[in-house]
Amino acid sequence: MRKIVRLKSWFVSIVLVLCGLSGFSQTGVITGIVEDSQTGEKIPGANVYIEGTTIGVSTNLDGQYSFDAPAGNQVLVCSYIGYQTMSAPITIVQGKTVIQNFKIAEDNLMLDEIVVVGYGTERKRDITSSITTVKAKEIESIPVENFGKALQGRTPGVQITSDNGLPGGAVTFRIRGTSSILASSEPLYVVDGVPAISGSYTNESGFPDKSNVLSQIDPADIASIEILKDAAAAAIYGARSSNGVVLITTKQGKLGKGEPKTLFSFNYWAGFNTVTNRLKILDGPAYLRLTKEAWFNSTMGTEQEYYEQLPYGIYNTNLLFEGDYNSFSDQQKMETYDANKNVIDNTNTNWLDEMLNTGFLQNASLSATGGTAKTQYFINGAYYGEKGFIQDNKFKRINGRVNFSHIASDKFKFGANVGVSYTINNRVPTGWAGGIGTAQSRSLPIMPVYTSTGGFFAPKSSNFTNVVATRDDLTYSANTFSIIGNVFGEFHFTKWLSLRNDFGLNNMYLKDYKYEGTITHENAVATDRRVQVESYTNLLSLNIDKTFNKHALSAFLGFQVQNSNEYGNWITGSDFPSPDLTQPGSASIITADNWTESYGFLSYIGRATYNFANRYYFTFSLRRDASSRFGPGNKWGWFPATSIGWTITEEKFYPEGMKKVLSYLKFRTSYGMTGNAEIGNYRYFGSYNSTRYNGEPGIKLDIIGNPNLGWEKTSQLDVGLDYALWGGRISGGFDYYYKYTSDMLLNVNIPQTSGASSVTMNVGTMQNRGVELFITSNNLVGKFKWQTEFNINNNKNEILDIQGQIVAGENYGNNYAQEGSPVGAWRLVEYYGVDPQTGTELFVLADGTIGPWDDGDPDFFANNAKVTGNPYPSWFGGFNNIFSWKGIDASILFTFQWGNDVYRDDGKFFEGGSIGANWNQMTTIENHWTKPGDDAETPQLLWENTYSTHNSTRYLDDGAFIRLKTFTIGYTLPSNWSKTIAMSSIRVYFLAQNWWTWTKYGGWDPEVNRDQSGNITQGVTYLSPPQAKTFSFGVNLNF
Amino acid sequence: MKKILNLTLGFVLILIVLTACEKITNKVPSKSISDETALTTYDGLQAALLGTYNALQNGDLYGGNIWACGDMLCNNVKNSGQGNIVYEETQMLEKNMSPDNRLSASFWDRCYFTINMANSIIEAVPLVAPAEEDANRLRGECLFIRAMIYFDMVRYLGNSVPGSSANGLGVPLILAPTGIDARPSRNTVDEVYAQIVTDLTLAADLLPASNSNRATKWSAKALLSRVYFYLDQYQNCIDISTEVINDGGFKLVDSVVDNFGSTVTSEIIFAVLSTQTSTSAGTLNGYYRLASNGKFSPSTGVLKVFTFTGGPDDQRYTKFFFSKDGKYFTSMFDDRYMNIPLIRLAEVYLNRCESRFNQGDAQGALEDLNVVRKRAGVKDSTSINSTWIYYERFKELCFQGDNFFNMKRLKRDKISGKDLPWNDRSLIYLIPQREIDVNPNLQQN
Repeated sequence: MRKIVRLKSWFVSIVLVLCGLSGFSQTGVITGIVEDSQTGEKIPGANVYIEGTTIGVSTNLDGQYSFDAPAGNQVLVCSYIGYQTMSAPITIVQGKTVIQNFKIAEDNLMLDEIVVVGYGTERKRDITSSITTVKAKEIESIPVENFGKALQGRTPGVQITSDNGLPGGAVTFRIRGTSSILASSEPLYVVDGVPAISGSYTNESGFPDKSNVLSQIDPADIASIEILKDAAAAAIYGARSSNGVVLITTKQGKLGKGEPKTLFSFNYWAGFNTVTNRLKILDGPAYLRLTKEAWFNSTMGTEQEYYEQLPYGIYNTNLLFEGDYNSFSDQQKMETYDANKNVIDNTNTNWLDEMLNTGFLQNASLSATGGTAKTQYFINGAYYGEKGFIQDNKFKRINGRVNFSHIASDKFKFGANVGVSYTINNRVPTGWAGGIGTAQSRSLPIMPVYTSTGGFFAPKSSNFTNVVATRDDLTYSANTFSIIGNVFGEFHFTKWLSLRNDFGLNNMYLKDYKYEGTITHENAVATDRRVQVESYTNLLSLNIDKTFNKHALSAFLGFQVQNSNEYGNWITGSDFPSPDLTQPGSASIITADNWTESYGFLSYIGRATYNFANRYYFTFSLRRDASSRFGPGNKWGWFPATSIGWTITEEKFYPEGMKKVLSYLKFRTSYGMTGNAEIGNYRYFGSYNSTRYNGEPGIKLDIIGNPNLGWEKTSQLDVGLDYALWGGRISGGFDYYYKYTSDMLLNVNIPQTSGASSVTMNVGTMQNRGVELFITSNNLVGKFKWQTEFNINNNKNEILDIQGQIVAGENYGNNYAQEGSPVGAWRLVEYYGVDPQTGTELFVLADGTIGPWDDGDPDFFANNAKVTGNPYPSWFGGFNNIFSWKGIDASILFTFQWGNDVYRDDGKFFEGGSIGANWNQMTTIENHWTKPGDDAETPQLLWENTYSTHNSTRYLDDGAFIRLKTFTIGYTLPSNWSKTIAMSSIRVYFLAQNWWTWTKYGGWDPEVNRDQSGNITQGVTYLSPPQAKTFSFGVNLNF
Repeated sequence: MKKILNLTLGFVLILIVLTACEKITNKVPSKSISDETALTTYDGLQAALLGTYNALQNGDLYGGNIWACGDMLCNNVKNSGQGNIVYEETQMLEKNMSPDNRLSASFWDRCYFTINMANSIIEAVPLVAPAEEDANRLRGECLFIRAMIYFDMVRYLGNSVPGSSANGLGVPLILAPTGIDARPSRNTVDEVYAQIVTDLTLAADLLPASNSNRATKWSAKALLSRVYFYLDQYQNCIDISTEVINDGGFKLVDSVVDNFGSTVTSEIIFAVLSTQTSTSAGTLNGYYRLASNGKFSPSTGVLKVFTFTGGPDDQRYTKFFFSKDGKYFTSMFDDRYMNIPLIRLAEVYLNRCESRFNQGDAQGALEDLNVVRKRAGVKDSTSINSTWIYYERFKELCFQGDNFFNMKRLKRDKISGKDLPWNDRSLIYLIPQREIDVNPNLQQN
């Protein structure tokens, strides 16, 4: 006797078993067509079945269905993802055919949509925690190499900053603010249940900008991204989720019915990109004019003396005559001067033009997906190639994926998801290390690229860098191979009790190779560096899922281990016998080093979820975790979390009439504790490391250990509601959160008389709070559709207790962590303006008076600096409008933020007013003070670099901006056209990314982070590159 | 039934996995050793001892700043115009050091780092209990290093500013590892000196006569000679100097320059050593070496001492100073692999010379003076007075970390060319601000 099980509609759509009709002798035929009630389009793949049974089929490509059913009165149900389920009573007559058509309406509420949560999935209606979901179609086709860059503006509560526009570059995620000072504030990234390797592993010597291993992931593999923001959602990853969790689920096939059919999808797009904005710097003639003015202001020298003191290489004493300049006759000296002056006056090099170009990108991918009743699969292969807007900067990726699962019996199911990826990133130096950083600053417009005889101009000079020569002399490639995959087996003891094991693996193998030749160096130098990371995780879990009457209970008990080993080595060789030998081993001087590190996590996890009639919800989870990163006294932590939900609109007392207006309203609140272990692997360990003296090996004290070093903990309260109006015409949600981080890791200062100056301890506290609001509105739903999605988010961070310390940032830029201020706030002297009488800078001093900067007082900065500004925005969000009409679709996404500042740490050298003969200047210095009474932006131009130590708010700019982030317009060919070439659909489109930016910011781009930024150093630029503006055309073919 | 079998299989699997996995949370670094086990064997102690010597090579200690900062403070050096004088160096040249002056702050940090290393070894020796001669040697070397460091610390930081509340205060005397909670206060200058003398006297007993070019009993005695000299304990100085001169087996070399190379000459009693792969003098090379764009050149005052006190043949002038395009430079620190000769026999002669003179033995003083003069290529002096003695010491130990301290010892006026008394506050290091902030028991100078 077959059991009659009350199946949930989503379950039906995934597992539809074509049951034999044995046992029923009297049958008739039901047939019909399923259409979209608005557009009339036929719907393939919709499920039509007899209610309460497994008898049914899915519609074919033309929306038609037909099957045998038992005679009698039945209720026929039609359901399809994204549409409201419809049912119709029918009477089936033995031996006769009954026609029943369905016109189904879109389900704007999407309450039965599946959301991926930690270790499983839930229906959207059942979620009581705060989760942001982004689906594949929102991020497919966006011409970026890293999914993080595609998510910007679409993620309530998550602030995403692309550090620079270089391919493979770092992307900073902040979910509900920064929660730590020493530990990382980046979220945990999980791909199909496997914690993914993230961060930067490339060689930073000469390339201080961090890279991002997450560029290994192909955005086209992703089916959905869920970002778990509050404690209850993230607690299931508890131990490492204080900063939130980004769950990436890759595409799966669909279990099908009837004839197994494979759906192919081919996507190709190509485009070009440039910088979003260019800094305006002086050209040759303007540079000469303004620096001469500075020269005369400061030195009272003659014009000839000005030319003669230009750095060696520009003023060439042997331009005409050989020999010692001091032994020239006066006539010869005169002629040398004239000849040099002529060269300098007529040189006008635009170094940025030499280094920048229009980039080209393209992407091609082919995927196949399908399924039978028991097996589903998804296979993808893709290629991405980018030539960036900086010359010689390239990024190529080739990747493949195979995902499948198979139902072996009604008790056992297994499957695997495996992705491999190989990238080649030819990086370029940026910022202070060279490339366009130097091209805009220390490469002067009066320096030529080539000499008159054809070779590079001064390639080996130590006074300045010929960046074109350096570019040609440098070969760099970071090749990364990674594999991420998981294998699972699930055994059902009974219908409601199952045991499952997931084994996951993420390995990365990086080879980076750098060669700098003899054009710019005395001796060529080559470095070959290897890093490999091998990590695995295994989760064994017991699942209980029982529903009786209106009660639904599920429970999860799990045991998880994770282990990661990292091995690295490098070898550097210098001084080669020939330019054809470029491997470090061939050099005459060789140095090498290696390292090994590892870490592990052990977790016991329990979670219980209960809901009554989809009306009252309750979740409780508890974890116990240990990490190898903590001291033997404090490895373990408890991380509990709970959440409650109440769907008012499901209440019996809720008037039906109201449901037409306020169709759905759910209150939810959650509270819990999460942990953060993202610190170095061995901080707790007091150690000696190796050294030597007089040829013998020795050991020296390295770290004073702390055996009680433990978890940083964050407790978070979230209060929110989800609502829908007019049947889902307008829907959205609101959240308020409060996060309190305690036991924050801090390098506590101790007296050096103990042998060391600091020890790492858990002593700090910090808080974050804010609100998130998002609205989706279907403004027009007829033939012309218009949908708006809007999200706006706020975060306010404050450091409560860090032992009174003022902790400096990870890099220069004057950001600090100090009590009573948000993390990353600056300490700067307040700038007042230019003194109209003297033409010097004026500042607001500590006592409130206005005065100049006292260069003779070493304590001037310490005494007069104030806490000011915030690198993180107080408000940010996205505004997306999506249109469709007949076959045309368009969407326009704006992203915006305000309340953040950007500190131009290079401003002092670029437009301060004091010029040395070693930096080009911004054109803003044209407006400078010349005589008493002048009201100018820039002080009097002076020749020395005295202003270079004046760290003031003069260079602290408002970083607010609105960006036209993504603009897409596409056209899907009518289906009868595409069918003529055996395609089920063809779409062509144009997509622009970062098209326009409105901002008051005076530098390259307000979205920037300098090299080696961290929790504290943020919102600083030092010759950092801007973002990329990209235009692309693409085509999707489905067949 | 099958179900029960499956369940038990499941649980057994779980148990196996649970027990095997606990060790995943025990990880130790591969490139360092635990501080709990590092000093528990003789080999560990010996390695830590070599690590302590390595600490002396640091540019903030004997690798450079202990010598160079004194010369900045008494203006023996000036800006050569070649390199880039930085903020903290300017403060020393101008005599307006702030409490966060990087040179004085790093000096404090490195000194206590080294003292802590030495103390850790001394504490561990009786617990490891190696053979007696090894135990003595280990202790002796650590006591010697510790005393040497305290000697330089108390001379840079010791306060003798009249009217100052910190007058008479030296540095905290840390004689054993303190742990991170200790907040020691400053001991008096007298207490520090007393400890130095105790440590060196004990070290002289414990150390062997020869020790692979590291500290020997003669190093301890010679340093003690210097300490007694600075304490004005003339008779003690004479006695111990005589021991070193007569019994040490040291001999002055003919060419002074040889002491500033990579060989340990017969004249060197203690040096911080360099090898091709582990050089000590990098900071000094960087300060003075013309080819390295050295930022310091000798001041006119220094040059005057050489030219006016006679002896154009004085090899300490002709071999160490040269001029290029009208500017003068010193070549004393040109050798990249040079050892740093901290104590030489010549100095012991000079210590004894001045001590004898102060004890009334002018004849003996003259003999010692002439030993040094003769080697330098200057003709013998026929008479002796304190001025000659001062200038001879100046010339012999120029740029070697003695001139500044000697000027203060003699309470000279115009040490820095400015009108400041010898015990002015601007001529002593301030305790680093960071240290004062974290240790309220420390009194600032």
